[in-house]
Amino acid sequence: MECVTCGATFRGLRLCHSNPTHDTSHNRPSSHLHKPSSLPSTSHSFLKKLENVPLRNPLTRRPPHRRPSYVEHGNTKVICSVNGPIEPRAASARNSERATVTVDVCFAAFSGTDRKKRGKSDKRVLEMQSALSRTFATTLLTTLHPRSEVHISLHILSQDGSILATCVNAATLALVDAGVPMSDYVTACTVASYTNPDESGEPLLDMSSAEEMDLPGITLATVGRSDKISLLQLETKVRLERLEGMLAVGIDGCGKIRQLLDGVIREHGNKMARMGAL
Amino acid sequence: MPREIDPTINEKSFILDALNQKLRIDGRDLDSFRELELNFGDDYGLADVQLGKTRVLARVSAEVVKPFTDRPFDGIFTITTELGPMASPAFEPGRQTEQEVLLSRLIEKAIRRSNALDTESLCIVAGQKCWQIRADVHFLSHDGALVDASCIAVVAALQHFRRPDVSVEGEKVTIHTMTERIPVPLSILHVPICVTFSFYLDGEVCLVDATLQEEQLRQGDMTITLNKFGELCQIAKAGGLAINGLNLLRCAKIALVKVGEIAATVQRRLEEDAAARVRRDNLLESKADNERA
Repeated sequence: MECVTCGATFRGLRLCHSNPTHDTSHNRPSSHLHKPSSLPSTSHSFLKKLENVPLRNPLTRRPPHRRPSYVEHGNTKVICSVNGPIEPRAASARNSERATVTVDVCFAAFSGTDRKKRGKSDKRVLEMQSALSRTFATTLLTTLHPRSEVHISLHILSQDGSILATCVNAATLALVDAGVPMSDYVTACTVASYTNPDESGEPLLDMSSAEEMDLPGITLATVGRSDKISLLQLETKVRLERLEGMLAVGIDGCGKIRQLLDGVIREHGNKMARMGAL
Repeated sequence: MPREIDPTINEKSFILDALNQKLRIDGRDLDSFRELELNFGDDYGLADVQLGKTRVLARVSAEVVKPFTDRPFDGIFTITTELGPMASPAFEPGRQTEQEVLLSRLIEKAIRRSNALDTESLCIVAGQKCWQIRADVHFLSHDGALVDASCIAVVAALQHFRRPDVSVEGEKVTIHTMTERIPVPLSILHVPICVTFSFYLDGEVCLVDATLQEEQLRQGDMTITLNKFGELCQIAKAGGLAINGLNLLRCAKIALVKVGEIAATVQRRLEEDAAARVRRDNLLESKADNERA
């Protein structure tokens, strides 16, 4: 996949919505896949779908908020389900003017190179959750649902760089499918800055985890077709002059991802309409 | 859970109306910091930063510990931050809030991950002994820009700190007291400074060094960390109002100028303090009741 303007490329990108199947997780024999206990039932049925379980009853559809989305950026794999708008689970999430957006990020223990459990109180995870919830809080039309909560639950199944960006894309896909009103797509990608010894060099789009280790890079998310940046993160040292080039490539990359998401969503919508689910 | 009192509707409309006319209620320019006051303690490694009514104290201390097994040649550097009720009644002791986690992550990324302190120079005997440098940040008063103030406090305290000199003979390590040998400064590779921007009125107005009231009314924020050589150490814009890419670049350029000014102030205060220290030490040595050599 190549970006038209800058020629930078993404790794293999796969985006999909789960099919509007009936939730069959109760009457199926338990799967042989190892599943962390914290995965919600929505993900169970999706994992089964990956095992090619035939659709039972394609015409019954699950409530819109229980359908997960699944995004792959190369080997980074994220599954996301949206629940809401619902009654706030905690009193602190109740706001009389707007809906609050809460995000849960769960790194599966098997997602990295070495098996390790990342706790809920890990500072990095908390930071990701807060960045995601603040990003979507401004893009969703939260004032339409006061005193309620939109809960986004993200499960990282495999890590290979650009995790935050993949999470943003998965959440956008799931939110659109769940029908939560939002002003536009939020799409994200990462850009690395690569320098040759002679100080020349092009920014690289979509970092893998090996590139993340060695190169300075940014994660950025833009809103819709505009070049307005809602999320921008840089964690390693880089010359200030390099920022402009990285931003330009990143904004183009986000536009490209927006087109891809749009394609997936339209195709999914058409399919649902054909099945009579709408 | 205690909360900061929200500005009243009158205050809110007054501040936003003023911002619409490019005015701030304390009369500052949109892109100017409050008066930065930086004082050092009698001991090495104590910096007290006042940015308007915001006041942050940073204390740097050192002890000899065993290095981590996976990094035998590196010393250890930790930064601890705790928001307590001293700074504002809205902060509860003991419980880590989201604000506190974000603040500590930001300072950590700005100073520790950007390698401002050369940890390799803290190694005494590889794999066995190294210095652990610990920076404790205490928030004494909260009137906005906690990140900016604490970043200045930590880098100033690190530059001010002197650790005892060490000599190694074979397996034997001697730590010389401060009077025995002149204590050595830490090796600081660069001085990162954070500048936080607050966005208002759909990105039309962007403020530097917002007060608490301005922070409560902002629609989005972004913290940029730079050093005076023009190297970006960290950018954190976690959601909030979406801002045009060109505006972000303009912010980065403003930040570079601010960083130069702040770094110069810190440097000047450090030099003044060093000069005062020399005068005081000379005075002590020349006292008549000292023992004659």
